[in-house]
Amino acid sequence: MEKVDTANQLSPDDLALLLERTIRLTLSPTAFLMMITYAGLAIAHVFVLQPPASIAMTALATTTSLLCGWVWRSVATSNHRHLSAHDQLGVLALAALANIATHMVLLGDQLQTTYFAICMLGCGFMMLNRKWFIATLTAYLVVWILVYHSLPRIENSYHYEFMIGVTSIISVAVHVTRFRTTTEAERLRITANRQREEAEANLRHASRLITMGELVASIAHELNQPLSAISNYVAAGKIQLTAADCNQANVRLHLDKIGDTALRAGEVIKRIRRLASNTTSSRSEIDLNHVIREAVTVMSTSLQHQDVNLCMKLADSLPIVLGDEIQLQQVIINLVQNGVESLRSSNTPNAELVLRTFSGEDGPLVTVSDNGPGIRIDPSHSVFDPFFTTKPNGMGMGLAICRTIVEKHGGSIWCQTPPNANSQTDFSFSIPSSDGPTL
Amino acid sequence: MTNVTVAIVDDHARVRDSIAELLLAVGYSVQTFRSGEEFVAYCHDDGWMCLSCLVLDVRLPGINGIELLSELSRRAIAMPVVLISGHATHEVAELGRRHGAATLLEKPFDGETLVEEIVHAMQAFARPTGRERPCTQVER
Repeated sequence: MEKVDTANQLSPDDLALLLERTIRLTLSPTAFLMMITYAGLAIAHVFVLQPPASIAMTALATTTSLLCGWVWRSVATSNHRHLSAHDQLGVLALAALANIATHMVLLGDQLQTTYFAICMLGCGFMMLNRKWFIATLTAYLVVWILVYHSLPRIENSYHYEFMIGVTSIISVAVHVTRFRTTTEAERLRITANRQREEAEANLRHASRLITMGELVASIAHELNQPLSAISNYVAAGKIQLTAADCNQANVRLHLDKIGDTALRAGEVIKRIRRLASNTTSSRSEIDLNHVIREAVTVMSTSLQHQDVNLCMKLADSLPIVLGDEIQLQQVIINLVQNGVESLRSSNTPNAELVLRTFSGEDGPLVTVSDNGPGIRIDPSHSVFDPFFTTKPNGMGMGLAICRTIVEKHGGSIWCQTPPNANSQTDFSFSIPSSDGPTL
Repeated sequence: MTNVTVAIVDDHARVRDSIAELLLAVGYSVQTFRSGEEFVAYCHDDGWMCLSCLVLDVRLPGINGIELLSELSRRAIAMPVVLISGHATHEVAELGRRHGAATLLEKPFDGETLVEEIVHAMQAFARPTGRERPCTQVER
């Protein structure tokens, strides 16, 4: 009968609230697990009644748990980053372990130990937010004081077990609210991240389109060549077919060449289309030497007609990197184009661009050097800052995009004028190899 | 048509090869060059004397087609020239004509048209007082 009386202390509104939160709780897998655990413990307490632990013991366990949570949080935030879901789980796990260990030693009672541990998980968890920490800690202490010390303990009393059950439900409710807050914050962060990534993708796409615009004359030239060749092979074939001593083998040879040339023209189009497509980034294992050769093939004609001599000094073999081929190709194209424009605007005689690759300690290193006049800028600015440009019609986005892409690959990019060179500018970037640390 | 040797200067291997195949099918002999510099080197030791016509790309790495024509004029080397270009503008055509080229064909062109233009250029060059003769440029 006492059970019924106690149950009446809960208003229908409270029950509705608990029910609603319990339903919401099930939306999160972690929270669901926690709810099941609490429910199991509450039931266990109803059937297996254990003698009360002392406040001192609870306080000791709580302190240990909080200390562990605090240590974890310090470590996690020492890198000036936000706590991830991973870190939060880490805090929970560490707090739980500390609690279990403390209670196992002090109480020697596994059931009680586990119950304490689960409750103290909340304390560790609350370390993530001061407000929730104080609220939960107070709730726990009040309930435990009530249960073990203020209320008269009656042998086989349902009242006592019911209070433990209520404590569990209250902690569930607190956790639910906390989880919801966390989930909401997480959701907002994910949305913000996605929006930023979309903006970056759009910017890169825009930059590629600008590059494409600059390359359009080169593309037309590139396609004109195979088309002219095909037309000539056709004419040669026709002449041979109408000749008195028609050599079929020769005609077949010309047809083969026509087919081959058409496929090569198709390759040009595919390459251009890959560059222009606004695909989301995909990661694969990449040899930067190959990326450079691809990029140079795309640009070769435009380079030839700008009177810039491009020289490639590539390392024999480079460590493989994990990255997006098209984006890295874009970095090479932007750096080469930047060099070409600087050489052209300064009318440098014997203009030369040198592309080098080295196998560095952490991964491959790429350097694009030009023998132009170098960059003289205010040291407070970086050539990689968005909208920084020294060109009259420049947008100042090319190098900024290079930096974004390289940094997204966990690498770094820099620019320097070697002290022993009269006129030379080196743009270099390095990307960590795939067996080393990546993003 | 016998003993006609045509020089082809184009940086693009496919174009070079296809023009060579076409002219070989017609019954000409061909000499191919990858760049203006290569052709100038060939002309250095009177090798050009056996050439009947020059098919010359305008856009070339290093010295371009028009510059090559100037260089030939300077060396008093004269021969019928058919210019080819992927970017044939009125200005380029006029510039080519002033430097002694018979015509400018825009890529991609019909192979048969090229053969016709080569024949026309050679005929015009053979006329003793032909205004298109490159050597008149030299004498000026």
